[in-house]
Amino acid sequence: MKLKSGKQLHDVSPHIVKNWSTKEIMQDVVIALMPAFLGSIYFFGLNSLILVLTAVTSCVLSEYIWQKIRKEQLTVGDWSAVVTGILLAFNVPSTTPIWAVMVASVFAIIVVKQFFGGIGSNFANPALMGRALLLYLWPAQISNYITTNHSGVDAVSSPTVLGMLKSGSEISQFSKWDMFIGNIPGCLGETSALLLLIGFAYLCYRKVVNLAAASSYVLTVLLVTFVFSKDGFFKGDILTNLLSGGLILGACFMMTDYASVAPRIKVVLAIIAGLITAGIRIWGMLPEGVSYGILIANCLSGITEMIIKPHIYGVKLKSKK
Amino acid sequence: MKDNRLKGIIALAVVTVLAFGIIYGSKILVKDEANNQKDVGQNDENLPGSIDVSGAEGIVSAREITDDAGNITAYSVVAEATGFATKPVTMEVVFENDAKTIKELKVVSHAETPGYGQKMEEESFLNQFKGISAPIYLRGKAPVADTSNQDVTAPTQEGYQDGIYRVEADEVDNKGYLYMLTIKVEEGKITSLVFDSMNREGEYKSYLSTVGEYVMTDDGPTWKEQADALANYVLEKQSIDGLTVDENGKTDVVSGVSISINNFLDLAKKALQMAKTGEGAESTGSDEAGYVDGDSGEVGEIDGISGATVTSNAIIKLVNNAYDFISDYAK
Repeated sequence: MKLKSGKQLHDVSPHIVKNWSTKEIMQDVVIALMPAFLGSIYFFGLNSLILVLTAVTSCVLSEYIWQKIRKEQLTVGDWSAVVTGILLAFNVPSTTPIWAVMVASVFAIIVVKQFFGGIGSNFANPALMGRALLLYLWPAQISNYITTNHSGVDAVSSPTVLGMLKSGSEISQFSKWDMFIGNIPGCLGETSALLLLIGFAYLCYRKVVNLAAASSYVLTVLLVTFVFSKDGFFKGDILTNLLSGGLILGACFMMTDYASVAPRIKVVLAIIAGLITAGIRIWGMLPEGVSYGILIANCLSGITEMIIKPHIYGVKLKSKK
Repeated sequence: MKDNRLKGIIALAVVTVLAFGIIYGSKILVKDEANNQKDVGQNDENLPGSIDVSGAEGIVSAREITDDAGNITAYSVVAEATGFATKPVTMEVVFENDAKTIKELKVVSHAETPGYGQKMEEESFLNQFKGISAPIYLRGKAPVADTSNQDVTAPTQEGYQDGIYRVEADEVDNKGYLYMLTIKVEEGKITSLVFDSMNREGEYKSYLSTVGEYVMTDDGPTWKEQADALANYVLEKQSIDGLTVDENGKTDVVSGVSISINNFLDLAKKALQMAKTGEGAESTGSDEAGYVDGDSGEVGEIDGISGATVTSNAIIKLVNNAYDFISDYAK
C-alpha cells in the first residue's frame, strides 16, 4: 500500500490484498467497532465514553508529537492510532482510572509501535501490549469489574464470568443470553458478542479481515477448552468459553490486526494463539488468556514465517502424489 | 468502492439499531418474567430445581443444583436473619450434596455497620465457612451442654476459673443499644469487669457519655461513671450478692448509680456462672487457647467478626437455619 507521498510502507495484515489505503481500512475498523462502543456506553455508562475518548486522544496525540519531534513522515492521519486507542479502552474495565489509560496509550504508540518503525513494523499488537503493561504495573486498578446497568439495579463489583469459573464459583446467575448480548461484567468492549459480530460482519462485507484466521483462533480455543476441561475430558462449556470473555473481540479485531504476515501463516499463528489462550484458561492462573495468546503468537510470527515458507505468487504449489 | 462502503455502513447502522432493540426488549421480557414469578408466589417455581420454602422461617429461597445428568451436586439456600441493622442480613449458603458440608457462603445483601458487621464481606471471614460441616458455632461457643435453660443463680462464693468471660445481651434494647459485659478472672479472683453497650453505628455508650453525646442528667455522674461504679462494686465484693433492685430496676446499694441495672445484673449473673464452671473461658494469656477444637470435622467453628457479635450471631443463625431446612429437605 502506498501513502500519499508514494513511499512504500510495510504490509499491514490481516487485511487481505487491497488496492485501497490504510486509512480506509482503519476507518472501516473504527466503523465496525462502533456498535460495541455504543454497547459499552449502554452497559457500563458514561465512563466508557470517557475512557475511549481518553485512549483515542492519547494515542493520536502521542503519535503526532513523536513524529513531529523525530521529524518523521506524519502518518497520524491514517486512523491506525484511533483503532489502537479504541481497542485499548475496550480491553479494560470501566472502573479503570483515566491516568492508567493515558499511560497505556502512550506506551502502546511510542514504545510498541513507533520504536519498532511505526505502522506495519510493530512486533505485537500495541493495544494488547498497553493492556499487558497495565496488568503488570497496576493489576488491582484494572481488575475491578462491575455488573452492567442493563438489569436496572446499581452496578456492583463482580468478577467476570471466566474469573468465577476459574475460582470454581457458580455462574448460573448469568444466562447464555446475557453473555450473548453482553449483560455480564467484563472489559468495556468485550462483553457483547452480538454487537462485536455485527461489526465483524461489516468487516467481512468490506473484505478487510481474514475470516480464516479469526475462525481458526476461535475454533482452536473452543476445541481445546472443550476437550481438556476442569471437569474432565470432553466436558468443557463451549458457549461460556465463547461468549463470556474477550475471545470474540480478540478474534475479530485483534487476532487479525497488524503485526502479521501472509494469510496462510496467519492461520497457523491463529491456531498457536488459540492453543496458548486455551492453555491459560484451563491450566493458568489467569481466567482469560486472550491477550497473552495473541501477543505470544505475534512474537512468534517471525519464526513461523521462517519455518513455513510463504507461497510465492505466480508459482504453482507442488501437488502431492 | 464508495458505494460499497456506504451500503455497508447503512446496513451496519440498521442491524445495530435492531440489536439494541433486541437487547432492550430482552430486558423488558426478563422484567415481565420476574413479575410473573412474583405473582406465582414467593418461591421461584419456574427455576429448575427450586425447592418450596413456604413456611420455613428465615429462608428466602432454595434450589437444587444439578449436573447435566440430573444428579444433585449441591444445594443453594438463600436465608436471612436480623443482625444489628433493621434490614436483615441475606446470604446464600451453598451446601454439598450431603446437605451438611458448606461449600460456600456468599453475601447477598446487608446493611450492617461499616467497619464492624460490614466485615462479613471480607474473604477471610467468608472463607472460614468453606468445607466445614453445619451446624456451626462461634469459636468457643460450641456446646458442651446447653446452659441457656439452666437456672442461673448468682454465685455465692469465690472460686472462679481463670479466664476471660464475655457475655452479651440476647438482643438489642428498645433504644438500639446492645449490652455487653466482660470479666477477667486471675488466680480465682475477678480482676476486671467491663460493662458497656454499643449502638447500631458501633459507638460505645461509655464513649458517647464521656464526650457528652449521651446525657442523662445535667449534673449527675455520666453513664460511664455509673457503669464503672457498678464494676467496682463487683470487684470489691467478688460477686453481685447484695446488689438489690426495686421494681424499676434501680438500686440504692451503689451510690451515684441511678440507671436501671437489670441489664447489668443479667449479664453479670451469666458471666459469673460461666466463670464458676470455667465454660467458655478465653485464656488470659495467649488468645487462642480455650476454645473447643473442631477436629474430625464434627463441630464447625468459625471466628466471629470482632466487635460485631450480633452480626456474627445473625450469620450463624442464618447458616444454621439454612442447614436445618436443607437437611430436612434432603432426608
